[in-house]
Amino acid sequence: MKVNKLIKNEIIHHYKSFLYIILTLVISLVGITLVESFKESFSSHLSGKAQDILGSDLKISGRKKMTREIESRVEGVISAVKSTSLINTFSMGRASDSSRLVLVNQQQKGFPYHGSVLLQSKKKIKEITLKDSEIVVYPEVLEQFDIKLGEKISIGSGVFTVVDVVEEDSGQVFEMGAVAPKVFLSIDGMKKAKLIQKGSTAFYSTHYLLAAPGTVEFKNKLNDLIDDNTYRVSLPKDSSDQVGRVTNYLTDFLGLVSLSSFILSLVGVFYLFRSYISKQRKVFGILKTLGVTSREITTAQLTLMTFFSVFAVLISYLLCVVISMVFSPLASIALGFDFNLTITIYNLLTSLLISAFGVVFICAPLLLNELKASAAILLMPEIKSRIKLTSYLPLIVGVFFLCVFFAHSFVIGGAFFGVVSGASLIVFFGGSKFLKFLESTLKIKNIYKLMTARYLTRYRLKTLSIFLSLFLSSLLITFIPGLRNSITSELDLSTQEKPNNFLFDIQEGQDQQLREFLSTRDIKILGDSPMVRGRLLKINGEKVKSKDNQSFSREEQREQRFRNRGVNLSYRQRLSSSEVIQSGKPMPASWQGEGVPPVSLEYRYAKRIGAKIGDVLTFDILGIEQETKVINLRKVRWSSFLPNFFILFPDGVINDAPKTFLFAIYSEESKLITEVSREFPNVSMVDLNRVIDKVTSVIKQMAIALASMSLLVLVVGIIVLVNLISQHLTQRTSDLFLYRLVGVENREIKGMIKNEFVFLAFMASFLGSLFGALGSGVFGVVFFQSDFVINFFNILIVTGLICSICYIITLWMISQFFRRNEALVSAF
Amino acid sequence: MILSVENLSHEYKQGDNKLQILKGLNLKLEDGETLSIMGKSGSGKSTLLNLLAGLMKPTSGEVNILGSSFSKLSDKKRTKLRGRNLGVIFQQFHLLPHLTALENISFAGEINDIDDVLAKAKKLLERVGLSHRADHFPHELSGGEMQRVAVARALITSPKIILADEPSGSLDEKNANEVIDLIFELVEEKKTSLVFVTHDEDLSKRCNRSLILDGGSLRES
Repeated sequence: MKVNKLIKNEIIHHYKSFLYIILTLVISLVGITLVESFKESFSSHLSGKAQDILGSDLKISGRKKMTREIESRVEGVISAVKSTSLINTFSMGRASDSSRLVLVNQQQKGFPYHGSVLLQSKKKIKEITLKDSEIVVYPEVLEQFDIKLGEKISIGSGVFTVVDVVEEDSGQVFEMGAVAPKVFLSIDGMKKAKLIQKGSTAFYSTHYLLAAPGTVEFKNKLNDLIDDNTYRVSLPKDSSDQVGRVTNYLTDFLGLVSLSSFILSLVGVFYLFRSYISKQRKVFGILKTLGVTSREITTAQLTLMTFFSVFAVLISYLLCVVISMVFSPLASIALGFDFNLTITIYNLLTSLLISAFGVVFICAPLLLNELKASAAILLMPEIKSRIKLTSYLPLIVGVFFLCVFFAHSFVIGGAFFGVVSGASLIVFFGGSKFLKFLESTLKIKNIYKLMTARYLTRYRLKTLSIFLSLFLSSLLITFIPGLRNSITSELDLSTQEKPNNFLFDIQEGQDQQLREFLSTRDIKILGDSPMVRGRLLKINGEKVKSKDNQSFSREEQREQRFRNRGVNLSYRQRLSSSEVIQSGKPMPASWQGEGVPPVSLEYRYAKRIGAKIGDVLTFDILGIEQETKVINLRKVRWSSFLPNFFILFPDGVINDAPKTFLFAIYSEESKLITEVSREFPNVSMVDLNRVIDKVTSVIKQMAIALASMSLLVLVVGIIVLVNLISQHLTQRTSDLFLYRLVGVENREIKGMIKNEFVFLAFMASFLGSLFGALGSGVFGVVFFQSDFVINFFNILIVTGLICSICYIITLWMISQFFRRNEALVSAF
Repeated sequence: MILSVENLSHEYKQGDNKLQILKGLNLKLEDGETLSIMGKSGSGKSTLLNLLAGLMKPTSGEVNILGSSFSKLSDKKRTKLRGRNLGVIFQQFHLLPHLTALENISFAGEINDIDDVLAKAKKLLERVGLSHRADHFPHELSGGEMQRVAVARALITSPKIILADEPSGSLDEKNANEVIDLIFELVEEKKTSLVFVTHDEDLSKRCNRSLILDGGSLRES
């Protein structure tokens, strides 16, 4: 009863402070809820469409056809209603003067089993039988080749008539950065075009319609049974996971940015609650004197704060429901399919848990610290309590787990936590020491500026709280576009040192002719690599298993993908200009045939498969086992766009294996692609500019999404700022009154307050944006091996924007304050 | 005449009601004169002092300091007039919490362009017996010490008038006596006029003249 009464009194008397706390929490929770619900809605949309995306219940695919033996082993354990074997391959399409790479899919009557490919003729692709001279194309093919329905297109050695156009493909969901548009040919058509040749890049798959859906255990059982990681077993869930991978990374980062707005709101809640507690100190003392126990006071206060955090969650939930109504149609346009953003009870519970956890763990240490004092001490206003950092350990640990939870990665989540907590520690401890030092060395003649400086250096917690909220906002806002600049500048191909075309599927013997063909046109080959298909069998004699485990972190998921796939091997006498040895010995130019031959691995690949220098790896190269010893780990600058490989042998180890060649060239000649495809119909050529345009546009969209989320951080930062300024002015009412008393004019008082906040905003936004820009540059160099790019214009814009916002807010707050306290601070 | 008040009235609004605190009050203070104003709690003593210091606008009437009417001066001139000629001491000390004892005193002088302000502040601090506490912040000082600093601050501009609002009200007897003695000693030394608001009859007897505030107007005691 006592507790209830206390709560009621608190709400009545301090509703303004609590409203600020609720508002701060609401904004940050909206961000978290929206990101989480987007993630969940997108993933449930994909799960719902998983069978349609795969087209069947089970797919076994690989770069070579499944042997009869494996096929019968598989069929022995599955209860298949139907099965279909299909081939996909890349090839060059030609029409009139234009040539482009296309992805040729085999069309088979009755397939796909699930979902459908709807054509312009309103027929479904599974209902038709294509003749060997007929082709069905995606609409982009018509655009890119400038042809119409009924016109002809050449693919490989065949000429085909476009008989229909795909209108809707249920298997094609949100495919970002696809290299080539799809076309459909019958198996006879593919044979006629001579597309399936030895060594050409073809993908073989067998689809099964099962009587009962497959499970992960079932998939692992099949993997054990097949016992060959050349083949990949896919269930519908895998195909939707694959489609969702890009958005997973995006939403992970969005989650982290939204989390930083929440962390910022906790800074605001901390400050507000601290002011509230210091105001209540005397009340607590009186209550204790009257017989209310510390426990009862703590229960009342924490119940109150939990109530407000729950209230904030409910408001944010309602806001999210409204936003989702507006957002869903917009997202559908952006994603290219019907997308419905649904805010679920799970989202509500997640927000509830995070909010209550954050608020309780931020408020409890303050409260307990205050209440451990005796009633007599609490009644003495001059005695202030000091709080220990260790009381915030539960909060710090909790925030760490939240970072990992949102990033789905210990590495990224941990790094993010490191940056945020590191920045906070540096700002609070380093900043505190710096302000103390500054205070002792201040030599300012102007008394008003001196007073401003004294306020900033002596109210350190206040100064640093404002600084931190603006610093983090500016850092994030600058970091994301900065990173985009680093990456896109790395993708710039407008230099002759980087290739702009790749030629692949070049057969042995044909490579020489193609070299001559290019040399007669003065086209320099910037990269020339043989490519041998192989698969990793063993590491130190231990078999590499294809297993599908439910992994939490993105790193584990990636490691699993790398272990489960076939690999391209190459050999060369010396490293390319885009490679450097990170550790180990240099590789000999050629191998003389004695002992175990050396192999060089790309360092990240080595990490993912769990190999280190000195390990013995066994590869299966077209049926022959080849043992090799890891001699070094290489760092590859992938953005050089030169042909590079995870696994590299010296000359003389795998030279005799059947291979194709990969050339990288630079040419501005627009007709080259058509000429190459005429002279060498089996050679595929991909225009890197088109691929990069797609990648750049995806990066741009991601950056926009992340930058928008960063704006939310800024909004929370500004609310925290408004809170802090408001509290600051209220606490300083008597100071301002004294200023007036000793002869300071209103104009000067306003000037002092303005200078204080604008200077703080300038320093925080300038340093935040500078560190954001530097951080994105360093991040680009470390993770993308890009050049160090720093955009000073962004720093200028962010600093200018934040300073202007702070200036306007400060002016507004001052005028409000003076209006409210006219009788006190204004004489006549 | 250093201070005169003519027909001063002031009222507060309390919801729909008006609370008349002062009713047509008149007062005169000569140079070097010490005057006590006594009254019960809620009689309007502090309101009168705030009006004398120009910190509040009266509902009607005039406050003249050194021949200048507060209401007829610009904000800048009013502020300067107050800063240079009035020293105010409150019951609750009201020191700036982020300034040290010495800075609290010197700040008031610097604002009003007092020459050699630091030396004067140090001298005053020594005079009030707190030279050893110069670098201490208000929260590090006792009540008595804070009031001594407030007295020194009020005197840094060598004002013509000191307005003291129950300056010993928050102190224990020993400290209260010391602070009151100090104020009277300094007023005597500096030849400053004093308006001393109190409810203590003994204290009022130390002034040249005593008035009682009752029913919104002043009468002789």
